[in-house]
Amino acid sequence: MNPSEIGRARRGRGLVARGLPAMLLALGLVAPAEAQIPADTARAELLPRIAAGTATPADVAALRDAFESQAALPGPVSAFEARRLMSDAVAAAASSGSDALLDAISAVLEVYAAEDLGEHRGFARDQLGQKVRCAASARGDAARLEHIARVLGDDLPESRTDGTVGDRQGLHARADLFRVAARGERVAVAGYLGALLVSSDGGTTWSAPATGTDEPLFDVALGPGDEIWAVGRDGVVLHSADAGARFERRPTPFRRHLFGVVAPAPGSALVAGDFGLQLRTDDSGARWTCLPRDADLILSAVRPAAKDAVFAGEFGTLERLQGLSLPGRRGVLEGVPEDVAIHDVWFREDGQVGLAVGIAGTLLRTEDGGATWAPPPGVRFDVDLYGVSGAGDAVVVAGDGGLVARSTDGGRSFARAEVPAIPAPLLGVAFASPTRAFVVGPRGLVLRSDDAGARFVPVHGPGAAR
Amino acid sequence: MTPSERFSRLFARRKHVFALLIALPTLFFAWQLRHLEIFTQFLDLLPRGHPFVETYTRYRDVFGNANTVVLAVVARDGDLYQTEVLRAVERATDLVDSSVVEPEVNRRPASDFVVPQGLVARGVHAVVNRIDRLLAPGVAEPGVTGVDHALVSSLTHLTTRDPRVEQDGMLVSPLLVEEMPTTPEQLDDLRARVRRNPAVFGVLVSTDERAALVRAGFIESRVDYGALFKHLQQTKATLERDYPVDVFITGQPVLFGWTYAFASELLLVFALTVVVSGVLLWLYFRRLYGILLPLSGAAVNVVWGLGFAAWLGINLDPLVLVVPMLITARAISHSVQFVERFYEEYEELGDKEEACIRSMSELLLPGTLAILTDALGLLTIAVAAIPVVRNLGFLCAFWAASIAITEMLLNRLLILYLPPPRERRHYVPRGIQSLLEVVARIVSDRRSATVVVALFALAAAGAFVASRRVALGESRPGSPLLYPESEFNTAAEHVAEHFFGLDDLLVFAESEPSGRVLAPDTFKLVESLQRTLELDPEVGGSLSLVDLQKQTSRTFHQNDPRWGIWMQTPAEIASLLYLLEAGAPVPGLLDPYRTPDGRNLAVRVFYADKRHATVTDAIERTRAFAESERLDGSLSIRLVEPPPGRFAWLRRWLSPVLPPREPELVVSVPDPDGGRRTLPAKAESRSGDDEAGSYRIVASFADAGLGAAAEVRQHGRYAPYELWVRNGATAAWKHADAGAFTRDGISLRLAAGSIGIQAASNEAVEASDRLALAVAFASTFLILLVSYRSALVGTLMIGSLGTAALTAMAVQAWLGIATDVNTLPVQVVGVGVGVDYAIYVVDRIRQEKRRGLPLAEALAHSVRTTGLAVTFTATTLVLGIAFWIPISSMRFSAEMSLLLCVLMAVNALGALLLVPSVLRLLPERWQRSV
Repeated sequence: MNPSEIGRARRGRGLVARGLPAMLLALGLVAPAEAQIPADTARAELLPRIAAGTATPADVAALRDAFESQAALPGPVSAFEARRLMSDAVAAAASSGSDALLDAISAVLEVYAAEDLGEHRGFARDQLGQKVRCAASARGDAARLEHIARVLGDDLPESRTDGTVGDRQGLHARADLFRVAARGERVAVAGYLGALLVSSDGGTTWSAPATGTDEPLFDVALGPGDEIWAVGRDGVVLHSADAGARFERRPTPFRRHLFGVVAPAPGSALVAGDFGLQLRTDDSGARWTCLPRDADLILSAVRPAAKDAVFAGEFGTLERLQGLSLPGRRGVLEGVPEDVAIHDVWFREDGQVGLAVGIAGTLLRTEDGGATWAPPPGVRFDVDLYGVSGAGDAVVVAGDGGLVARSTDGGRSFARAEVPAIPAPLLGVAFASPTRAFVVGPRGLVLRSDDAGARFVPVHGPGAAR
Repeated sequence: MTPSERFSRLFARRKHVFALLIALPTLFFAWQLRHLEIFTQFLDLLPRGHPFVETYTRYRDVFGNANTVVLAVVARDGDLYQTEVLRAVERATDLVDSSVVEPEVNRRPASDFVVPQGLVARGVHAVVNRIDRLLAPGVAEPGVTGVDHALVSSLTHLTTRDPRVEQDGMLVSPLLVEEMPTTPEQLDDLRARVRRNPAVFGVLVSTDERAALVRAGFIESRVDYGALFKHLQQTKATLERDYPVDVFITGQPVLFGWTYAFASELLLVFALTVVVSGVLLWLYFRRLYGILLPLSGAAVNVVWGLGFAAWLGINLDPLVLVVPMLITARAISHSVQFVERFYEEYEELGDKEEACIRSMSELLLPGTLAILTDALGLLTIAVAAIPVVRNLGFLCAFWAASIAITEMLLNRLLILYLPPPRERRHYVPRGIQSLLEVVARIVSDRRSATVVVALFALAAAGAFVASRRVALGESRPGSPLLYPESEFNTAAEHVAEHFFGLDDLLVFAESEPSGRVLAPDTFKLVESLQRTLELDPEVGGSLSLVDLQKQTSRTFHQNDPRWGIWMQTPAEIASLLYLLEAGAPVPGLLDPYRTPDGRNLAVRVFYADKRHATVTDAIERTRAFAESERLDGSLSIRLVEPPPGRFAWLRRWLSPVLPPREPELVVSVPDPDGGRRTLPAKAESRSGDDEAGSYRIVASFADAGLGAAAEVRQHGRYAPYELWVRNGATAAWKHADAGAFTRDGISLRLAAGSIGIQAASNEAVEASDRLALAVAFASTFLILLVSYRSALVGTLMIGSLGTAALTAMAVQAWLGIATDVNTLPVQVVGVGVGVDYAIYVVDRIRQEKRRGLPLAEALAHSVRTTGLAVTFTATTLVLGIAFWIPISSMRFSAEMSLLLCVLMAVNALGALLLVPSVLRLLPERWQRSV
C-alpha cells in the first residue's frame, strides 16, 4: 500500500477516523505503524477467494483474525489498514453473489456492532448499514434488510404528527439554501432544516410546503411532469408527485448523507451520497438498488449528461455512468487532479461539453463527454466554487464570498456577473430556460437573472422586494 | 388652648433644650458626611430576586456579564483590510485589555476628556473643568481598569482562532491574524478566512468589512468607572492620532463614565440653584429672615439627609442626585410658608415671640401633615425590587421627615434667638399681590369658579389620554440619559451602523446530567432557537457552540457549506469539539459557549437596540419557543403558568401586592406510543424551613420514580423553584435539582445579556411604577382623611395632585421620556412635590372659616395670604431649576427638571385656583364638613 493510498483511505472516512488518530500520531502519543502488516497477507490470499465466492468458514475466521491482529497493532495507520481490509472483504462478499459468504461476514460485523463499548462498533455498524444493506437491496433481499435494521436498531422513525420545528416556527423561508432546480416556470430549492421552497411562476411567488423532516436537504431535482425529488442528511428522500404541494418521505435503507439527485424518467431517481453511495429507484422510491463501490468517498453531486449521468466528488472524482442504469460503466478520467474535491458538475445538452467546479477555485472543462478534463486557459478563481449550471453556451458558476461569474462561450472564459454584495457562500445554480437562471445562498436568498446570468436580483430572502 | 398652641408655647419656653436637641444630631450627621460616596454600583440597578437577574448572576462569571465595553475601530477610508487599520485594531485590543490606567491619565479629571460642542456647553464645560481641577484633582497613581481578561475578544486577540484542516487531516487552530498581513494577497487571504468564521464575521468584524470591534467585560467589584472612562477616552485619542481610523466607544461602563464626567456640572448647577433661589427670596421678602431661614434650614436639612445616607452606607448614584434637589425644594417651600406667616402675624401683633408662637401653632398641623404625607409617599418607592430605588426610598423618606425638625423647628428657633425685625410692616411685592387679587376674585365668584373647575377637568382628561402613551423602558436607541447628539450616543449610533446588534440576549440550555447538552437533540433545539429568533427583524445574528461545531465539520469536509451540520451522535460532537480545543494552544477557547461539564450551553443573540418593544418581543419569542419546543426527558417536572384569565390587566397592575399565582405542576413520563403521560401531582401552598431558610411548598407528589415523595419548593418570591425528594417516609429531604425540572431533558433558561437585564429591569419598573403611584395617592388620602375627618378634603387634594401628576406624565409622553430605573424615583418623588401647597391653602381656609368669615371671603382671604407664600415658593423653585434645561449636558437632568417644573407649577395652580373653586361650588351641606 503506497502512502497516497493510505492518505486517501484516511481522508475518505468520517472525520473522527480521519483527524483524531492523525493528531495523536503527530502529538507523539502513539507510535507509527509497524512495517509488518498481517492485512497484506490476508489481502493477497483471502480476498480473491471471497470475491470468487469460494471462501470457506475457515477463511472467514482467518479474515477476522487478520482484521483483529492488524487493528491491535499500534498506530492509526494499522487501524485504517485493518478497516480497509474488512471493508474490501465485505464488498467482495457482496459482489460474489454468495449468500452464505455474505451471511458469514455479516455475522462477524454483527458481533462487533453489538458490543456496547467495542472499538469496532462504529465501523461495523457503518459496514452493515452501507455495504451489506447495499448488497441486500440490490438483490431485493427484504429479509436481510429487516434483519440489519433490527440489529442496528435504526428503523426510520415514524413521521411525527405534530410537524417539525421548521414548520412550527416557520423557519423554512429563511433557511440556508443549498441547491436549486428549475425548468420553465417551475423552481424548487432545497435547504437547511428540511426547507423546500417551491415556485410555479418562475420565482415570483414562493411557497414552503411541510416536508415532515428537520434534516437538511442537500439537493433537489425536477422529474418529468409534476415530480419533485429532494434528498438530504440521514438517508432522507422526499418525493412529490404534485409539483410540491405535498411531499412524502420515501424510506431508504441507508442512513448516510445524500448529496445529489437526478430524476431522468417518471418514478425513477438516481442518488449520490456519502460513502460513495450510488442509488437508483424506478418505482418512486419503494425499492432501491445500489452500486457497490470499493472506495469510500463523498459523492457531492450527480447531474445528467445527455442520456447518461455524471457523479462528482472527493479526490477528483468525475464518473460518467453510461446509460443511467446501475451498475453502469465507469468513464475514463484524465486531467483531473487527485487532490481536489469536486462540488458540482454540469454538461451541455449534447453531453459532450461539460464543466466541473470545486475547492480552491478548481474549474475543469471537457469537450469529449468527460474523457479528458482541463482548466480553461486564462480562467482563474481564488475562492471555493460550489455550483455550476448552464444552458447552451451560457454558463454560471457560484462560489464563496458571494461570487457569481458567467460565461457566454460554453465556459471558455468568465466574467463577474452583476450581483448584490453578499459576503457569504452561494451554492446552487440552475437554468430554467436559455435566459433565466437562479442562484441560491444563505438565509433564504434566491437570485434570479433574466439575461442568461449577466445580472442577478434577489427574488426571495434578504433584499427581495415584497 | 389647642394642642398645637400648647406645644408652641412649650417650645418657646424651652428653646435651649430644643436647640441642643437639634444641634446634636446635626453634628452627628455632619461627622458622618466624610463617609459619603458617590458612585454607581451596577448590580444595584438590577431588580434583586428577578429570575433573569438570578440567571445573570449565576452565569456572568462563566459566559460574560452585561458590564461590557464595545470599542469599534472604523477605517477612515476604504475597508478594514489595510495593514495600518489592522495595526490599529491590534493596538486597540492591547489598550482595552490593559489592566492599568496610566498615572498621568488618571491624574486628569474626567471632564478633561470631554470635548463640548456649542457655545453654552463650552462655557459650562470650562467652568466645570475648573471646578474639577480644584475639587477633584485625581490621583497620580496608576488606576485599575478592572478588565476581565477572559472576556476580551477582538479580531487580533489570542482567543480568536482560525481552525483549519491541514493536508494530513490534522485540525489546527492558529491565530486568525498570525502575522500582520502586508501584501494584497495576505490581506485578501485574511478577508476570506474572516468571512468563513462564524465567531468573527458579523460579530467582531462588520459585514460591510469596514469596522472591527473590541469587546471587553469588566469585573463589577473591581471596576472604577471614572478611571476606566479616562483610560478609554485616552485610548480613543491615541488611536485616532496614530492610525487612519475613527474610534467609537460605547457600552454600560462608558455610560457610567460619562455621568461621572458630568457630575461636577451637577454641583455647579446645584450651587447656581441656591444662588438664584436666594436672590428670588430676597426679591420677595426684602428681609433678612426671608433668605436666611429657608436657606439655612435647607442647608441643615441637606446635612441630615446626606449624613444619614453616609451613616447607612448608601452610595449615591450620580443620576439620582436630582432627588436631593427635590427634597431641598420642599424644605424651602415649608420654610417660606412659615416666614410669610410670621411676617403676617408680626405685622398684626408687633411682638416677635408672640408672632412666632402664633404662626407656629397655626402651621403645626398643616406642616406636619404635609411632611408626613411626603415621607410616607417616598417610603412607597421602597416597594421596588431594584436596590438603588429601594435605598432611595428609605433615604428620601427619612430626609423628608427630617424637614419637620430641620425646617419647622429650626426656623422658629432662629427667630427666637435672632433680634426682632426692624420693620413691622411686611413687604408684599405689588405685582404678585394684584395677581392674587384677581385669583381671589375668580375663586369667590361662582361663575368664574365653574369655568376654572371645567378647565381643570378638561386639562386633566386631556392629560390622562396623553399620559397613557408614556413608554416604558428605553424608548430610543442609545442611552436616554444623554442627548442624541452627545458623543456617547453618536458613538452608539456609529457602531450600530456597522454592527447589527450591540445588545445581546443570552439564553442557556441546561441539563442535569453532565455532558448532556453536547448531544444532537440539544444542538437541534439550540440551533432552531437561534434560527427562530433570527426571524425577528431586530435580530442581527446569533452565536452558539452549534455554529462552531458546524463550521468545524465544514472545515473537515473540503469547506462544503452543506457539511455545515450538527453531528448525529454525541461521540462525534464531542470529538469534533475536542479537536477544536486541542488545535489551539490557548485554554478556554470554548468557554464562552459552554461549561466544561457539558451541562450548560450559552446561546447569544444580537439585537439592534434595547428599546422596550424589542426587549418584550425578544423575551416573548424566546418564551414561546421554549414552551413549544421543549425537550422533555424520561421524567419531566414542569411548572406551567396558568393562563392569564379575564382580569389579567387588574392582576398585572396589582401584581406586586398580590401573592404570586400558583403555577400548575405538570409531571409527565413518556408513553409507549410516543406521547407523554401526565402523572398526578397535588398543587398546594404550605410553608416550612430548611437549612436554606424558609420556603413555600408549591406542589407535592408521590411516587413518580423519584423516591417516596417529592416537593417543589421556593425560597422567596422570585427564587427559582426547586425540587426536593426523599427516599423513605422518615428520610431527610434532599435538593434534587435547582430551577430546571427535567432530569434528562433539556430546559432553556431565560435570560441574561443586556437584553435579559433590561427585561428584568423593565418588569420591575413596571410593577413598582404603578404601585408606588397608587400607594402614594392612597397614603396621602388616608392621612388627610384621618387628620381632617373629611373625605372631601382628601378627595380635593388628590384631585389637585392627580391633575399635576397626569400633566407631568402627558409632558413626559409628549417629549418621549420613558419610564425606566432612572426616571422612576424622580417621578415618584415628584408626585408629592407641591402636595403641601394645597394642604396649606385648605388649612388656612378652615382657620378663616373658624374665625367666622363667610365662605367666599374665607376663600379670597386665604388666596391673598397663604397664596402669597405658595406663589413665592413655586416661582422660586421653578425658576431655581428651570435653567438646568438649557445648561445641563445630561439630557436626563434637563428632562427631570422640566418635569419637576411642570409638577410644581400645576400644583401651585391647583392649590390657588382649583381647590378654592371647587369649595366655592360645593353645596352648603358639604361645605360645612370642610
